[in-house]
Order: sequence, then structure tokens, then C-alpha cells
Amino acid sequence: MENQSPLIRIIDLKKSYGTKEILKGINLDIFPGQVIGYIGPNGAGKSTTVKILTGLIEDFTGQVEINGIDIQKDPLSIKSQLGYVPENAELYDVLTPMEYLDFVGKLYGMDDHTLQERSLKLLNAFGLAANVNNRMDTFSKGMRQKVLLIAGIIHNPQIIILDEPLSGLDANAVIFVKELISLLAKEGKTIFYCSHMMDVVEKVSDRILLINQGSIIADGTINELKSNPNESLEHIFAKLTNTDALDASNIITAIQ
Amino acid sequence: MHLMHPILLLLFNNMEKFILRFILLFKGIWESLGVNYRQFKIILETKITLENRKPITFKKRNTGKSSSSSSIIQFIMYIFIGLMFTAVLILIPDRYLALAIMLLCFTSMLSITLVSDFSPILLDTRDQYIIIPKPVNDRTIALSRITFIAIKLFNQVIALCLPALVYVLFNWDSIAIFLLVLQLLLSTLVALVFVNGFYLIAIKYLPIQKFKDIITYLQIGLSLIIFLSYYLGPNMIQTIVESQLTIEQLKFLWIFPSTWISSFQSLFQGNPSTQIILFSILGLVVPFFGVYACTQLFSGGFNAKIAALASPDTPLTETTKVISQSGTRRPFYKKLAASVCASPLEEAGFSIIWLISSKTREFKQQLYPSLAYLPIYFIFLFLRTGEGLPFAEKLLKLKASGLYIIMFYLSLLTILTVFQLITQSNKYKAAWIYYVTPIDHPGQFMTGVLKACLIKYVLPFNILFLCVCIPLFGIGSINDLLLSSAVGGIESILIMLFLVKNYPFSKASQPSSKALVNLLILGLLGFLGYLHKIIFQHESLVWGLAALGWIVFFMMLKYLQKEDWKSLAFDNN
Repeated sequence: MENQSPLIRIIDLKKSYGTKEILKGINLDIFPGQVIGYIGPNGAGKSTTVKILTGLIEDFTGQVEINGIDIQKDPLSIKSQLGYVPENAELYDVLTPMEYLDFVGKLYGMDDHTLQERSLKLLNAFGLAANVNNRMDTFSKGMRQKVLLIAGIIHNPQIIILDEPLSGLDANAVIFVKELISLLAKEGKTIFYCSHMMDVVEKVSDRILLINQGSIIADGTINELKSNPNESLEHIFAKLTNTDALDASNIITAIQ
Repeated sequence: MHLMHPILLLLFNNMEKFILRFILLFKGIWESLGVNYRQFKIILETKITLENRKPITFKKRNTGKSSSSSSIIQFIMYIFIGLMFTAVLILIPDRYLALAIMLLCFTSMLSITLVSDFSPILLDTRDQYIIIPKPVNDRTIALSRITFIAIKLFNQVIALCLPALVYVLFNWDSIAIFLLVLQLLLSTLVALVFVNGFYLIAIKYLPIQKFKDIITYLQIGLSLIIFLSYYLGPNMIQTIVESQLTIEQLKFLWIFPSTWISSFQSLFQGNPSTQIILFSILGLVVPFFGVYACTQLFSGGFNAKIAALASPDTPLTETTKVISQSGTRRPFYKKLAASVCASPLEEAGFSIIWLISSKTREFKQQLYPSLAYLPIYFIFLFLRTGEGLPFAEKLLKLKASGLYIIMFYLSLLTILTVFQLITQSNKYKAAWIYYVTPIDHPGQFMTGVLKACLIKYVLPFNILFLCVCIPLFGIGSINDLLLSSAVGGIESILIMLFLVKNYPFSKASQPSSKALVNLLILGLLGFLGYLHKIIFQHESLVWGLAALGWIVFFMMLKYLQKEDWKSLAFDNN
């Protein structure tokens, strides 16, 4: 892997809001075909990293290169290689899935024929064939999430950024998406997976990055991060980030 | 609003709270009805606070910004409408007729506002999540809901009746005043029965989406009726006064309960003809029979149905036909987009406008009333030009004056309204997609947006004008229409370039503070219309200018496609 040149290279990435420094100099090399599990507590800088990678935040210091292209110099060519499924995903739900996918695909410059064919195949594969012409405001959260997943991969991107992609999905759909992630990785796609669901991250990722207070504090496979074989990712996470521990027994005292 | 006396302001602002405080005085009665008084009180107080902070209804719906005084603004608006009702009483000398018309207006106004304003209360899904899971008994929930509606209704009735009551207090004798109060109460009952009937029928026969759409159209209808009565009301009253019309002559009024109710005055003023007696009996019996019918005969499972309506878990209807892999039928908008757009990006702009504007209720609610005024203006212009002249001479006069050209320019104001609405949406957060996709030429996307707006909201008016003007004013009006539409095209590109600063449906709805800009554009359009009217008889000049206008329009369209739209940058919040 290390002989390959990295697909995503982040050098000394910093970002501040006013005087508050959110990212404090992140350095990372991500290689093709890797599934990166990106975890960290709330406010650690996860979303900011994702927003920078997806081109939503343009003013930062440091360097972000994808496929050797500097994101600040040519954001558009990078956006066309990326697929993104955002957290708290919002979509224009008065549209039908077909209409929404048609709109998104055209923003990626796809032609009508490919778009139509691919949308139908993907909707079918995600079990939404019967709902292609229903308005999404009648959909469950899981169904909308499926449409967003499709919208994130419809242009066949090389890098897929998934921010809590399993929210609202039922158990069967979770199994399906986990399988999909490993298949996409086998196809050579690079996946950047952000989540709070440690058990899933542990299973799908072949490299885990733990960010806390704007810095990467752990980087490696799950086995490399474990200090003993019985330790789970949840334990590792708690050990490394739980500086200001919450005590659940206080809650019990309060309601008694 | 701020010029009002602070005490008055306080009074209006707290009207609903005063009514609530009065209702809460009867603790014993509520408790004997099986209500948990403390829960009842807090539910009502919270609902009134929520209602007061709701974005103002009527024109600027769903502004997304909460207001702390929406109740006063609504109260004042109703007082204003109440003043119009009072005008009917003052201007028409025949009291019976005046009352019949006034009560008809009152009942219709109340019914329509009841349907549009109270449907969200009845269909409030938040109750399902917030109140029902808590240990609150059914009685408390049902009665707090009914009482809340009653408070709102009472507030509205007071505002609508206040001007009339103040007027009659100084001008009528005491029996007449007492009768008027009774008549107003009965009319309120009629409105309630009517609305209840509407719900019963609507719930029985309509799916929820259609039901909500109907409410939207009713609101649009309401603003049109107010607009129409503003223009035609004075004329009608004048006609009634001048020709000394009476109820006996205006037979169509006989079918309305308001006519029956208003006959009480004549009954007590010593003119009891058989018709009056019959009407009075009807006026007294029908409202109560209506209440009986609604509560006893038709209401089986009504609450259960309302609850089902409000429930978020409406089963999803699946498309029964199997979608074939090879492709479904291409929808009309896509064919249209493909034929007028040059790139997928432009098509994306075209389709998002085309689809969302047809499917979003709030959008229609704000746009359609302003579109529907146009044909009314047209009719009004026609009625007012050369009053009293025969039809043919009227036409000649309109043709010679070129006044109809002003209409073409007024219709261009629609573009401004459309462009102000297309950037706003309740679903503005869905706009993240614009910023993660590689939109290399925002100008192309926005050109698609522009084309959809023009084809959807301007072209139909031009076709309509063409269909009306060619038969009425001859072929000569074609060049006038061509010139005005070229001006409209240029105007829309300029508005797009200078006033549209966001992607479509990408920012929270907010009341626009562009009154000055709107006024300027209106003035400019009026001025251009006036210039056009001056030269409209020089046919070749108009043809030449129209050709020039269209050339300029297409050149600007090319420019628009290349524009980089720096203002569309992502706002990171």
C-alpha cells in the first residue's frame, strides 16, 4: 500500500472559527481502496474535515490534495470525483426519487440516458422499485437515506464520503449497506466513513482514525489500536477521548 | 403598527390571553366535565404562546421567522374587514337588505378563514408526540382542543363584529342592537356548521394530500374574493342604492341562511309578511338543526378520522405498475427541458424550478394570488374604459387608447414575484447538493432556472393575451405583445443578475424587505408601458423595436450563461 501514491493527501490542515481552532494541523495519507473509519467525539472536528474534503469549506490553511490536485486550486474537478452522503441529510422531498436523482445526476453533468438507466437499476437494487414515482415526503427515514446513498454513488465516484450513512436504516438495510461498502472497496473505491456507531466502524473499516480536539490521536487497523485482544473499539474510544467523564449515576441521584 | 397607543397594543396582543383567563375562572365547571384543570390550563397557555409566535398568516406564510405579535396583526386585519362590513350597513338604506348582505359576507369570511386557519390546529401532529404519550386523559385533550379553537374563533368574531357593533350602538334602537347580536351569534353557528360539514365531506372522500391542497386553494380564493370585493364592492353597492333594489327583487339571496337570519329585524319592526315569518323560522331553526346534524347524525368516528389524518404513519401507496428496466415514459417537463436547454446543467436548473414550483404548497400559496389578479385587472380595465358605452364602442375606445398595452407591462411584474419566491424554501437545507457537485458554470444552471420561469409563468400570459387581443384589437396587437415580451425578457435577466443572489430553494423563507426595489421596478415598467402607449400607433417603429428587443434579449442570455455568480457561494452555517 505504502508504495502506491496516496489518493488523498492532507498536509498540516488547520481551520479556525474566530479564535477557536477546530483543526490543529492534520496530516494524513489515504490510499486507493482503503475504508477509513473516521471517529471522534462531538465537536472534535470530524464534520469540519468532511466539509473541507467535500469542498463546502474553502478557507483553511494547509494543503488538501486529491489525486494530486490541490482542492483550493481546482475544487470542481475534485467534486466530480467525490460522492457524498451527508449527516442529517436533507433533500427536496416533494420530488420523486427519479426526479431527485435526475436533478443530482445532471449537476454532475451526466447524460439523460445513462442517468435514467442507472437510477432505475440502483433504485431497484435498494428495494425502492415500487416507489420510484412516489413523492419522497411520504417516505420513511430509511427510504430517504437509501435515496441519498444512491445520489452519492450515481456518478460512480472514486472517493465516497459517508457521514452517518446508516441512520434510520433497519437491520436488514444495515447489513446490506455494510456489504455494499466492502464491495465498493473491492472495486477500488476509497471510502471515508464517519460514524458514532463503533461496532459498525470496527467491522467495515480497514483503517481507523480517531480525532479529538482537532488532532488525530490514533491511526491504525483495529488490531493495531487494541492493547489487548478483548478490547472493543468502544473501549478504545472511551479510553482515549473521555477526558471529562460523564457519570450516569448522577442522573439516578437527580431523579430520585 | 408601532404608532399605536401602548395600552391598545397590550390589549390586542393579549386578547387571547384575556379570553383564556376568563375561561379559566370556571375551574369547578371544567373539573365537573372531567378535565384535569392544571393540565388543561398549561396546554391552553402553551398553545396560545405557540400561536402568537407563529409566523404571520395571510400573505407571507411560513416565513420561518417567529413573530411575537402575529395575533395583533391578524386582529387588526379582521377589524379592517369588519369596517368594510360596517360600510355595507351604513351605505345601503334598506336595513333588511343591508343586513342580509353584511351577514352573508360575515358568514362566508368566517367559514373560509375557519377552514384555512383551523385546519392546521386540527391536524396538528405535535399533539400526537407531545401530549398524547403523557398521562393526560381524553377529556382534557378533547376539551383543550375545542376550547382553543373557541378562543381563536371568539377573538376573530369580536374583531369582525366590533366596528359594526360600535356603529349600531349609536345609531340603532336597543331591540335592533339586541337582535343584531343574536343574528351575529347565529351566523357564527352557521359558519361552524358549514365548516364542520366541509370537514365531514372532505375527510370522507378525499386523500390527505388533496385535502391539504383544497385548503390552499381556499386561501387563494379568499384573497381573490377580498381583492374582487375591494374593486367591485363599491360599484355593486352604488347600483343597489341607485336602483333601490330590495330582497324581493334579488331572489338569489333567498337561498342563503344569512338572509333568513336577517329577517328578524323586519319581523320585529311590524312588517311580518308570510315570507318574513317563514324566513325567521328558518333562520332560527336551521343553525340549531345543523349543529344537531353535525354532532349526532354525521359525526360517527369523526375524531378518530381526524386523528388518523394527523397521524404521520399514513400508509405508503406503492406504484402498482412494475417499472421496466428499459425506461419509463419521459415526462413532459423533461422533453421541454431537453428542447430548450443546451446542457445537463441547464436542464437541472430548469427541472428543479419546474418540479418544485408545482409541488410545493407554500410556493403556490404565495404566487397564485398574485397571478390571479392579472385576469381580474384585465376585466376591470375593460369594465372601466368607456363606462356606459355599448360593447363595440368600448372596444374601439380601448383599441384607440392603447390602454391594453399597460396590461402587458403589468403582467411583467409577475416575473419579479416569481424570482423573489424561487430562492426561498422551507427545505432550504437540501441545497447542500449544489455545493458538493461540480457546477462549473453556475450561469448555465441559472439560465435553466430563468427559462423555466419564463416558460411556466410568463409565456401562458402572453398566449392568453394573444388569444384575447387578436380577436378584440386585430393583428396589429401582435407587435405590441412582441415588444412587451422582449422587454419582459430583458427585465427578467436584469432581475436575475442583480437581485437573485442564491440558488433556487436554498434559503429560509423570510419577509422580503425589497419594497423600494419593487416599487422602482413597478415604476420603470409603468413608464416603459407609457412610452409604448405613446408610440403604439407607429406600427413599423414598434416592429423595429420589438426585433431589437429580442436581439438584445438573446445576447443577454448568452452573457447570463457565462456569468460566474460569485454570490452563490456556500454560507457555512
